[in-house]
Amino acid sequence: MARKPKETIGHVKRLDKNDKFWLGMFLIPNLSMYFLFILIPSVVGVLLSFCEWDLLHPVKWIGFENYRRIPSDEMFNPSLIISIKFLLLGVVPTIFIGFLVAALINWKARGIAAIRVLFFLPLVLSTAVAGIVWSAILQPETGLMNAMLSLIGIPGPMWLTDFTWALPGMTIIIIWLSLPLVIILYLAGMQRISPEILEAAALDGANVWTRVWQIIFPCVSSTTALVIVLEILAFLGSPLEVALIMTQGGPLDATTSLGYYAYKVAFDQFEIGYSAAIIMVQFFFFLIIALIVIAIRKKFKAVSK
Amino acid sequence: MSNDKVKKKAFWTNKRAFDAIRYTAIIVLGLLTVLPIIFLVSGSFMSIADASSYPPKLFPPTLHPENYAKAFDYLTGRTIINSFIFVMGILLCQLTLSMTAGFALAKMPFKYASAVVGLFAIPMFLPTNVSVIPLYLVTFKLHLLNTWGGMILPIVGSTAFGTLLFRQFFVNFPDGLVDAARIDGASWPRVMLQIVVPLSKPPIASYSAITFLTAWNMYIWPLLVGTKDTFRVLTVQLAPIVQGGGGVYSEVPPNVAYAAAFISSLPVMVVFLFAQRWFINAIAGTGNDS
Repeated sequence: MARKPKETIGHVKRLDKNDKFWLGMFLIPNLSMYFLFILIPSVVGVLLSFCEWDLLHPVKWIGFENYRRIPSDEMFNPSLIISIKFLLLGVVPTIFIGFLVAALINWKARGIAAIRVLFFLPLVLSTAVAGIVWSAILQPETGLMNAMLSLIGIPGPMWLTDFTWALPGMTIIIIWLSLPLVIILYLAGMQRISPEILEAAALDGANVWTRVWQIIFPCVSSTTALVIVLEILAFLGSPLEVALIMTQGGPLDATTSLGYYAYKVAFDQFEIGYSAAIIMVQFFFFLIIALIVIAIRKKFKAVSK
Repeated sequence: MSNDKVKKKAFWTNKRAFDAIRYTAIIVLGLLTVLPIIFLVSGSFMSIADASSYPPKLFPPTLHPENYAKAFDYLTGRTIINSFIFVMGILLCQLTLSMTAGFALAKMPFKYASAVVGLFAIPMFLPTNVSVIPLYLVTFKLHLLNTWGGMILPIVGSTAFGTLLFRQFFVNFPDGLVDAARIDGASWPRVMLQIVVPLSKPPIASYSAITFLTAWNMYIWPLLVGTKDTFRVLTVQLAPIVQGGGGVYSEVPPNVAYAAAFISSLPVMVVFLFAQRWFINAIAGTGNDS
């Protein structure tokens, strides 16, 4: 470990009484808030997934009963599939577009700073604001999206009110909201690539496409791994808030993701324990994907070495 | 020789052509990205008929700034002030807690420092959304529902990110400065306020920028805790517009809805435009760049 030995951290070798008092003053408020509002609720949440509770009657420990109930729950599988659809439709396009845009704007050109802002701006909007804009844009008869599609001869779907198109419509909104983060992360990663590498490639006569995919892309692979995990989290998490504001999970549960289903189970059906169990399953689902991503990255690294 | 020259020239024009294409692509893609925002802003100045006409208009034929008065009436000044109280409360509390603890963990040697650092890494391995209901219960048991404490403090509790960020910055903070002040007899709070804070502007700016943004856009927690009008923040006030369908005949017609959405995004947009660099530093994880 690169940590300095204790004696050399600062002038202070050992804390006297006064130092200890201030150490406490600096740490305890933070730690107590952290315990009270983060650690304890999280642990309670995990424990609740083993309990039956409707907020009115006393909490009852039922072991794995909630988890056993999941396979036979008619709503669980469809919501899991909807969550997977969000991931499949959303994660890869967001990363792909984000990477390409970052490669495009990673450029010292006149006015580039101002143009970059255009790509960053959706970052600052709340889901509620995005909901107002996008429900107008995706409005089937008068919306901008279908007007633009009809210009190129495509009859636009009914989007958020259509059973098949509500999910892709919501995915577009989440992609739009999460692109800035991906672009910023990739841009930061690309700016760390040493210019010599790119110059050498240019001198070797590598064309732009080759340079982008065979030099820049491998150079930012650590960013890609980070972005994959972040976007999986985003496309698992955001559908809850977007659905709460825009679709209420409809039409006909077409946008009821696992997160939204768990929310409904808790706040509409008051089955707190069962809701917690669903969230736990979603979490393990995420954990497995994240571990796979990390494993692939390790393997990829070993190969490239 | 001459052949060489021709080649060079071809390459040059080629590069210029390529740059032109790249420039155009960037501008077109950039405009496409902000198109929804342009649509929002220009729609907020249209009449109801223009805002819901087909094909959709991108620019208002006649200006209707009175939409903003109506939007303001719908949002109410109270909601706007509430959003600021909510955000500033979270920001100030989190900043204070994260900085002090981050400093203690980096510069005040004690036995359990690394254990405490480890404690702050736990949330990375826990499903935080499982805690929403228990968090609500804690808030309820503390009689904090429909109070500013209940709105703000549970959010403030997520200090892990900030504490680790500031600890990282303070680990690289020159010991000599702290030592010199200590030898001169300055107390810890004085060291903090007069030496550490003035020299920590980059991480403070980054952390504040990102916290402001996150808190400003929070929806579910303020919705659950602040059920009374007196605690309603902008996101909670806006959401029903979407849920109501936002049609021409709804309580809030589209043009007014756009104005309301723009009013409620304006503060965070302004902060973003002025503090862009800090947002990007915070996201790119280089909060200590200076």
